[in-house]
Amino acid sequence: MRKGSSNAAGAGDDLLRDGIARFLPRANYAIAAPGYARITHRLRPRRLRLPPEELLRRHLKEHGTREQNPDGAPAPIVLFDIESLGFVGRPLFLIGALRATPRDAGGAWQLDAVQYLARDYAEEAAVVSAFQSETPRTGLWVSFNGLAFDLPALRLRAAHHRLPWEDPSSHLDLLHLARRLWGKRLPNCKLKTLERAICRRPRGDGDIDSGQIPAAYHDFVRTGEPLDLLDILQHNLSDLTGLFEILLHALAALRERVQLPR
Amino acid sequence: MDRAPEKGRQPSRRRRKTRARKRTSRISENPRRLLEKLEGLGLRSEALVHVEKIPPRRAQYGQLSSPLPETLTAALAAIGITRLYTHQAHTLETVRAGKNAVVATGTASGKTYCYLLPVLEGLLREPSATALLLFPTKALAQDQLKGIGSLQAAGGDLLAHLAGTYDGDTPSRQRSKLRDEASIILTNPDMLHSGILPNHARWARFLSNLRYVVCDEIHVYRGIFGSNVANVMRRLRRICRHYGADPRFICLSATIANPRELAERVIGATFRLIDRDGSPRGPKHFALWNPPVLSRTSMDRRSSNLEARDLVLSFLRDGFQAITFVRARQTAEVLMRYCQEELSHDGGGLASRVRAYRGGYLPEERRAIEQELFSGELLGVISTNALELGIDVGSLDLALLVGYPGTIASTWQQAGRAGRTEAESLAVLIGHNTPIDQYLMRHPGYFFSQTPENAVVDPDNAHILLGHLRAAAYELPITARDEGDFGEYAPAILDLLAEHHEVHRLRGRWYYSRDGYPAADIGLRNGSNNVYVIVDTGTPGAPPFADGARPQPSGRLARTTAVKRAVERGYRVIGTLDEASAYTQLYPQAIYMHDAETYMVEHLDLTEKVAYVHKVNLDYYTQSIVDSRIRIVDTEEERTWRKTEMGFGPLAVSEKVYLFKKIRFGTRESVGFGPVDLPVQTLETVGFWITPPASAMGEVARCGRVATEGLCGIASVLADVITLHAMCDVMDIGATQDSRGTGAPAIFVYDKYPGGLGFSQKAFGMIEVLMQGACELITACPCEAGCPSCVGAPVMPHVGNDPDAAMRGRIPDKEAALVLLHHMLEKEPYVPKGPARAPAGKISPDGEEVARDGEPASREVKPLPPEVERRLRASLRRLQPGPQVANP
Repeated sequence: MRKGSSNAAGAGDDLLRDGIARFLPRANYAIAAPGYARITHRLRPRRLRLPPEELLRRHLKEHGTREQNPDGAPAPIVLFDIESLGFVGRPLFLIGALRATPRDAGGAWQLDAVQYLARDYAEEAAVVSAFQSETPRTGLWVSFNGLAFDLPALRLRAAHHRLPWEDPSSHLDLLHLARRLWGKRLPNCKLKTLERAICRRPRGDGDIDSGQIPAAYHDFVRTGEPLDLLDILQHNLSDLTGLFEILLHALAALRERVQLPR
Repeated sequence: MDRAPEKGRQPSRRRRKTRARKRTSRISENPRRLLEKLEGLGLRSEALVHVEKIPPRRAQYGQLSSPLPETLTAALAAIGITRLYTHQAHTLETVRAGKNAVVATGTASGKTYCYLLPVLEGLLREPSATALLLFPTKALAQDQLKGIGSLQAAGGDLLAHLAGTYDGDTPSRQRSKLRDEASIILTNPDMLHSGILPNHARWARFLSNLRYVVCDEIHVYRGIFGSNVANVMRRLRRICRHYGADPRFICLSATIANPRELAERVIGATFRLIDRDGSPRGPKHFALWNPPVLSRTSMDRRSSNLEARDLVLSFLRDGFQAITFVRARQTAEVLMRYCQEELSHDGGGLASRVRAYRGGYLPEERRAIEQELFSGELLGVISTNALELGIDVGSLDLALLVGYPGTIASTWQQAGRAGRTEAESLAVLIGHNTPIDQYLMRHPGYFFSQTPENAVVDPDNAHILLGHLRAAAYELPITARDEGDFGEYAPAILDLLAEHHEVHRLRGRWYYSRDGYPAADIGLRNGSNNVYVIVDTGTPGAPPFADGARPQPSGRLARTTAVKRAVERGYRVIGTLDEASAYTQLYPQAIYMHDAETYMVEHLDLTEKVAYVHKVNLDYYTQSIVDSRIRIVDTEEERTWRKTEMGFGPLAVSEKVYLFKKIRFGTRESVGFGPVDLPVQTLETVGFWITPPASAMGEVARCGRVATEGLCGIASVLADVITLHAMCDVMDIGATQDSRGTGAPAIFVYDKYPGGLGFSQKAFGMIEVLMQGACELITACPCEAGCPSCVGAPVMPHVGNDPDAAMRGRIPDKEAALVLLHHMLEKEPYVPKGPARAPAGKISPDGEEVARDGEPASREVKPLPPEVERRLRASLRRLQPGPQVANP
C-alpha cells in the first residue's frame, strides 16, 4: 500500500474496537451509516428538578439563547461538547452528547451519552450530520462555552460541508451562568475548577491535556494506534458528566435564589 | 458633450473640479502653450532633445445588443454618461455572453465602468449575486469604493447593494456584516489568501453566490507576486467549485505586451482581449529633456533635480497643474524642498499648493493629498511611483518624469497621468546622468519604438507550489482533479508533504494533517512585511505640535503597540517605512524629510520598530553609504562548463550601512560624515557563480579593456535571458559581479527571495543555452557600444536608490563582454571594435567615490528534479522547527 494512505476503516478500526472493549467496557461501539463510529454509554438515572419555567426562560436569555416563542418547557435536555483540531472553523472529529429525558413523575431522568466519532478526516461530515439529525432542536441544549466555541464551530463545519444547520431554540451556556453564580469566589471558571470546587468531584490525573488533543488525533489517523484516542473519548465523556453535575448545582442555586427577593 | 468617464466619481465633485480647473488652468486659452513654453525653455539650454507628437483621438462609441437596465442607464445619465466607449460596450457584451474579459486600455480610459456595468447589471438581475473585486493595494480598493458609491447614489434604492472594503483595516464588527450581507467586496490578493480562503465556511453565502471576480491592475501580478497570486486564484476557483459557483472574471491591465496571456496564466481560464481604446484623447507631446553638460570638457551634467525644479516651477507659475515622478522617496522630498524655497520667495500662496507624495506617508495624509490634487486645490505634486497605480487624481496638464522609471510600461503609465480629453497635454522625461538614461536621450527613437515589457508568471514553480498546496489542503481536501490543476509537479510535492506528515491521503484525497495555519507561512509579495513607525517627539522647549493637527493613523496601524505607546506619551506619528528603507534612512542622526520639513532621527528602536525623530532646521540632508557583498555559504554543486568553473549553493547577500554623509541642499556639497552602527541585513538565498578562466581575463586585458566591465555586461544580459527560461521577472533575480567570495572576478546570479525559488537553480543547469543566448543577444544588437537592450544594467523599479548615489559613468563594456563570451563558449576569438576603454571610476556629482553595487489506484507522479526536491525538503525543515522526523 502507498505510504500515507492508511484508513481507519481498515485495520485501525479493529484496534479501536478492541481498545474500547478493554478500556471503556460499558460502552457500546458500532459503525453507523454512511461511515462513522458511534459510541453509546448508558449512565445511571439521576434526579433533576428544573426551576420554574419563568426563571429558566430568563436565564436562557441571559446566559444562552432562547427563541421568541418556544412551546412550553424545552425537552429533552442535551449537554454537548465537541473536540476539534484547533480554533473555531478547524475540523472537528468528535461530538459528545449527553441526553437527559424525564423517566417518571418522581423527577428521575434517564441519561444516555452518544459520542459521534470521525475515525478519519473524511468522516467529519457524517458526524456533524448524524448529531444534527438525532438532536432535536426544540430540546434545551446545554454547553460549556458553547456560545463562543461549540455552536459556532458546528455551524461553520456544517457550512464547510454544505450541510443544513439549525441552531437549537434554547441554549444555556453554563460557563456564563457559572461565572455569574460563582465567579466572584473562584480563581477562574474553568470546567475542572468547577468540578473540584462546586461539585467536589475532581477530575482524575489521567485526563489528557486538551492542548494535546489535535496532535493525538492526527497521530491516530495516520497510525491507527488507538490509545490516545481512547483518552480523548474518556476526556470528552468526563466533560459531559462533569457538565451534568454543574448543571445540577446551578439549577439548585437558581431555585434557592428565586426564594430570595431580588 | 460626452465627458470621459475616468474612475467613477460623484457628479457634484466632478463639477466642482471643472470649475476649479477653469480658475487655475490656462490651457483652454491657448492649447499650444504647453509645448511652446517647453520649446522656449529648451532653446536656451539645448536640453530639449526630442519631442514625440502623439496624435489626438476621437471618442468611439459602442452599441449594445440590448440596453442596460433602466436603473443603471438613469444612474449613468445622472453622472453625465449617455453613451459607452467601444471598449466599455465590448467588455459588457463579452461578460454578458458568459466569457472572461481582459481590458488593456490607457490610463483614464474609463476602465472602472468596464467592470462596474456588467457587475451592477448582474446584481440587478439576480439580487442575491455577489462580486469580488481585487486590487493590489488597500488604497486603490478604497478609491474604487468611492467611485462605486457615487454611481450607486445616483441610482437610488435599486442600486443600494451593500459594498465594502475588506482588508487589514476593516474593524471586526464590520467584517462579519460584510461577510453575511455584502454584495460587493473590495479586497486585495493578500487578504484573499490569508483571510478569506482559509476561512471560506464563514464566506459560504458570499462564495455560493459569487458571479463576478474582478482583477484590477493585473499587470502588477508578475514575477514572484504574480506566481503566488496565480496559485491563490487556483485555490479560489477550487473553493468556488465546492460551493457550486462559477464566476466570470474581468481583468484590467495597463499597457503591457501580453495582457491576455498574463490574465490566462494568473486566472487559469481563457480570456477575450479588449484593447481597442474608444476613449477620446487630446493631442499629447512626449518630450525628452537632457540636462546640459556643465562644461565642454566634463561629462558631468546639471543635476536633473535642479533641472526638474526649474521646469516644474515655470509651469506651475503659469497655472498648469503638474505631477512630477521621481525614482526615490528622498528625491521627492529634496525636490519638494527646492520648489518650496523658490516659491516662498514668490509669495502669493503658491508654495502651499505643492506637496510631496510617496510611500511612507500615513494613508490618511495620502488620501488628503489625492483629494486636493483632484479638486484642483493642489497645483503640483512631487511623487514616487506610489501614484503610478490607478488612484484617481483626475487628469493633469503635465507629467514630468525625473529619470527613466525602469520599464517601458511604467513610463507610459506615469506619462498617462497627464492627458485631457480635449486639451493638449505634455509629458517630459528628464534624463539622469546614468548610462540608461543617457542612452535614451541619445537614441530617442529607441524608446518610442519599443513594445512594453512582457509580464511573466510561473504558477507551476515547485517552490511556490509547496506553500500553496499546504494552504489548499488546509482549506479543502485536494482531489485528483485538483492535483491536475496545480501543475505537473503537484503529485510529487503532495507525496513529499505526506512524508513530512503535512498531508494525509484518504480515499484518493489529500487532507491537511497538522496544526498551524499554512497560509501564514507564505507572503505573496517579495520583501519583508516589517514596518517601522516614525514618531515625532516634538521640539524641545517649543509648544508641542503648534502647527495644527496632522492626521493620525487609523486602522491596523493604530492598534500596534508602537503607535499606542507614542500616542500615550503625547508624541505624534508622522509616517512609516519598510524595514530595508528604515536601515538606509532612519539611522541615528539621519535627516528624515517629510513634506519638505527636516527631522533628525534620535533613536532607532529595532525591537519595537520605531524611529524617534524631532524637527530641526538644518541646511543639509543625509545619505547612507552601503557596503554590499555576497558570501558563498556552501558549495552544493561544482562543475566545469567548457573551460569555466561554476558552483551552486546557498549564498548570503548582505548589505551593511556603515557610513552616512551630510549633503548641503542646493549646492550638493558634502559637509561631513558620520558612522552608522546597525546590524547587517542579509538575504539568505541560493545562486550560482561563474568564474571565467584566467586565459579569458588575460585576453580581455590584451585588448586593452577592463574584464570586470565585461562581466557586468554579461551579468545583466544573463539576468534578462534567465527571465525567459526560468519564467520570472527581472526583479526576482540578482545578477552582479564580485570577486570577494571566489578570489577571482566572478558573475553571481541569485534568487531575490529568502531560500530561493528555483530560478538560479534552473539557470545553473542550462548554462550553455543561457550563455549562447547572451552572446547572440549582444552580437545581434545593432548598437555601437552597448545599450539598455543588451549589456545595460537592468534598472530595478521600486528600489529606494537615489540616482545621485548610483553608479554613474557608462554602460558596461559590450566589446569586453563579447571577448569573454567568445572565449568561454570556445568560439573564434572576438576582435573588439573601437578604441580601448580605460577603466572608469564610479563618479558621483561631487567627485567622490561612492560604493554601491549595484486515489485513483495509479497516480501519475512526475518526479521532481533531485536538486529541486532537496531544496523543497530544506524549506519544509524551516517550516517545521520541531524534531519532525519522517519515518518511511
